[in-house]
Amino acid sequence: MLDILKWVLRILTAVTVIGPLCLAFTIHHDDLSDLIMPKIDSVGIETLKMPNVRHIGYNVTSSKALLLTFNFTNPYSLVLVINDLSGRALCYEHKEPLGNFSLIEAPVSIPPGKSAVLTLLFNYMDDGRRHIKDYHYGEANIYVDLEFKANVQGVILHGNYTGFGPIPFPDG
Amino acid sequence: MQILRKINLVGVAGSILLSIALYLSIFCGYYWWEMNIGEDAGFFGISALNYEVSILGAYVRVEILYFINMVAQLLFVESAIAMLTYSLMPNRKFSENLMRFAYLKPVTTLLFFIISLLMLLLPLPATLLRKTLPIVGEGIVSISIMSISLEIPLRADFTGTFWLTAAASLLCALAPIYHKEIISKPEPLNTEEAEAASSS
Repeated sequence: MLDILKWVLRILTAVTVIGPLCLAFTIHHDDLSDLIMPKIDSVGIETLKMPNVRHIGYNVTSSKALLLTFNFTNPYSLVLVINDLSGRALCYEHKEPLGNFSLIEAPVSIPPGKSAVLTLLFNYMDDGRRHIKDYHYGEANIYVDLEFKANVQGVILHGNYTGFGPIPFPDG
Repeated sequence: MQILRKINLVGVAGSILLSIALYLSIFCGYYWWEMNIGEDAGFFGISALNYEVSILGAYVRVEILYFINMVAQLLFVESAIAMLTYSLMPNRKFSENLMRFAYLKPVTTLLFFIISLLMLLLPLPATLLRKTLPIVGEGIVSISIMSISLEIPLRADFTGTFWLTAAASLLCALAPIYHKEIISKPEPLNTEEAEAASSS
């Protein structure tokens, strides 16, 4: 009797360990990669969306500064918090630094699936104004490269956006 | 007091703690180890019994983990029931079989979890990212996606449920040692038998 109990318990252990794994391979026998590949909400992990950022326009505030506005769409199912967005702009043609920019109001919270307008304050540096006067005299506006640093949900992003513009020159 | 001498208290405690750990994991969603990514940018919670991975509000599923969790849940349930049954009746003929069936399963599952976690955090990211992930504490992982580089802060720790499960597993593993003490001690005489023995 005790021998029977010992063997029943051993078989129970084996069935407990092997049973669910056999079930897994039986259900996914057509495509075993389904078992081990991570999926986001039942679709492949490569479908993780990127936010949509669209330049809306600009507004000259003074001889040295202007406001740049962007439309930022949050494609995720959580509130996206942009704690900080700043950087510098360089002349697209000559790669000379022209000025710095930063978010006018921070942090910005964007509800899931919604859009928000981000306003950046861009300040021309004296060296930047001198470069424009020396190398872009007579031109109405300029294309720039943006080197940015953003803090989104505590994650720091460093990136470049080339050929942004046209943005107007400072007066004077 | 005589009743307490007839039961394996270590086994009883182990099986009760094991049941609590099982309840917390399955019904309350507690994990044994957690990692937070950024400020609510992502979450990674894992145990042998359940798991949760979310990135930017989207849940990530890995099918094989569901079945591995099922194995661990069944092992824990069997172990808790067998250990409690044995512990309340350690002197029966079938009890030792139940004890041998139950006492090692929790600690084996726990060790399997720890080894898997170490493999996930050390050699795998070292190969893919050339950096290891923190097991306990904080760290920053730098990766590049297209032309954007990211610095991702990570914060990881073992949870209270892990330590509860570790205590339960240890108690279950120690049950055989206490079992030897129980069966080696003679049954205490009750008062009437003691008086009859002394008068004769």
